[in-house]
Amino acid sequence: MPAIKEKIKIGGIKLSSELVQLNLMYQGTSSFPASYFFQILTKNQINMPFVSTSFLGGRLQSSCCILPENLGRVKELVQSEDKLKGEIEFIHSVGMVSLFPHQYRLKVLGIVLYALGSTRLPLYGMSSSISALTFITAYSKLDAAVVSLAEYMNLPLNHSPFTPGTP
Amino acid sequence: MEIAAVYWESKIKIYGFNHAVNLSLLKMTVETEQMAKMGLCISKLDDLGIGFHLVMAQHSNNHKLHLYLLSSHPWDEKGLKNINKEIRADAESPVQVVSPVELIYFQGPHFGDRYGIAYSAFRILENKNITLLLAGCSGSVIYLVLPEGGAKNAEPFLAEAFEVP
Amino acid sequence: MSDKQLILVVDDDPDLVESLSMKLESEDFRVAKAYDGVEAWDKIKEEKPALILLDVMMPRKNGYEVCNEVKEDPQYQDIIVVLLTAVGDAVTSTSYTHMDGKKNLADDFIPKPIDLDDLMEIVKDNLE
Repeated sequence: MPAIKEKIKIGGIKLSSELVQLNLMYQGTSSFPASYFFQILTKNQINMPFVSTSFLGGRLQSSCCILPENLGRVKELVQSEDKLKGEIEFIHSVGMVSLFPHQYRLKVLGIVLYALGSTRLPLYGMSSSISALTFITAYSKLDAAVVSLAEYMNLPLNHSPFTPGTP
Repeated sequence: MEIAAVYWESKIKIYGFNHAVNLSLLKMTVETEQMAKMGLCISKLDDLGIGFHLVMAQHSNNHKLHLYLLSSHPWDEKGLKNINKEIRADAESPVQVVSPVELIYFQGPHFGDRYGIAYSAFRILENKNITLLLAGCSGSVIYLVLPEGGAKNAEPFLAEAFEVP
Repeated sequence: MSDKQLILVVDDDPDLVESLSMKLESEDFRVAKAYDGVEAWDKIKEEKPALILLDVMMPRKNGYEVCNEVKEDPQYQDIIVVLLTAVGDAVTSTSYTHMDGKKNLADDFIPKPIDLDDLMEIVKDNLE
């Protein structure tokens, strides 16, 4: 398989704290289960720093990330809701990596997929924003993900990927 | 040092709404082992000058990766066939295109640190029976992908719920 | 070298940096970007901007520190510093609230969420 040779310049990388990912998958004609799920989290003041939802061809998938300290409460809430019981998959200990700016270039996405895929690092989710491309991988592999990306990206000289809590 | 700002607003303030119409939503599904190959294919699309409005990926528990690419590129059959071949798309779910679709997105301070913001948008669309095809919220932006006509329908209702200074 | 004035936008929210940059560029300014206080200092030394739009809550070095360092340095103290801050009425829980009373030397401030028209007015007024 040919490799990506061109290095691209980016402004920075941001890493999240440890998170838990929740996936809700449903086959049906309505996106109602996703909305209901997010309603429950909102009512309980649970923040989701990442959310994605797709509803195409009768297949609904919603994913979100929460802080680990909210996991027990979310599990209780899900268990007490007949509509959600058994429908949620939990992926423990994940982290987000944000690269910026992506400049709306598919090269950045291509490099992320190539770098993670060729080093067998998991990709649990992804979403772009105005400037950043954010993806989710195993929390224990965040550093490995940065090393793998750095092979194809030039970062500013004094940049160190920062996390919440960076002093 | 704590850098998160935690606060609650009865009406969520945003910087304003943006939208784009006449877009194509491309969905590609591959086995996760094919991810690197998919990366190379996507990289080639960049060489052809194709950009994006939104990209999103979801992982399903049967080791499949679903990649969504929202762009203004008009995909033709030949182009799709090439992508299918290059990424070795999952035989059960070849590359699909939904077109035309529309995008509405908005940004606000500390969206990622505060609860209930994405739900406020989803609730409005559901109450007004506006179909949501795709939503992505990371950083401080919420993206909503809607069928044709959806952005025009949704914006006045969203504008009631969110405050633009 | 372009005669357009250079503005340095500093915020750890890359999306906000991008939005502000696009607005400033559309109004004929040149823009440099930094995503934390340490990078901001590098850009200040490298490019000596006419004005800095500076977030307060940032990793590595916060906006108050950067602002005071700029204003206490004879080589850079003529650079106009405008603080971007959500530290206001709405914020109830942040370690920066304890700094509310601290005197900082900024030339102006803009509360978040930013009204882009107000922003342009403040930038232009300060550069006059």
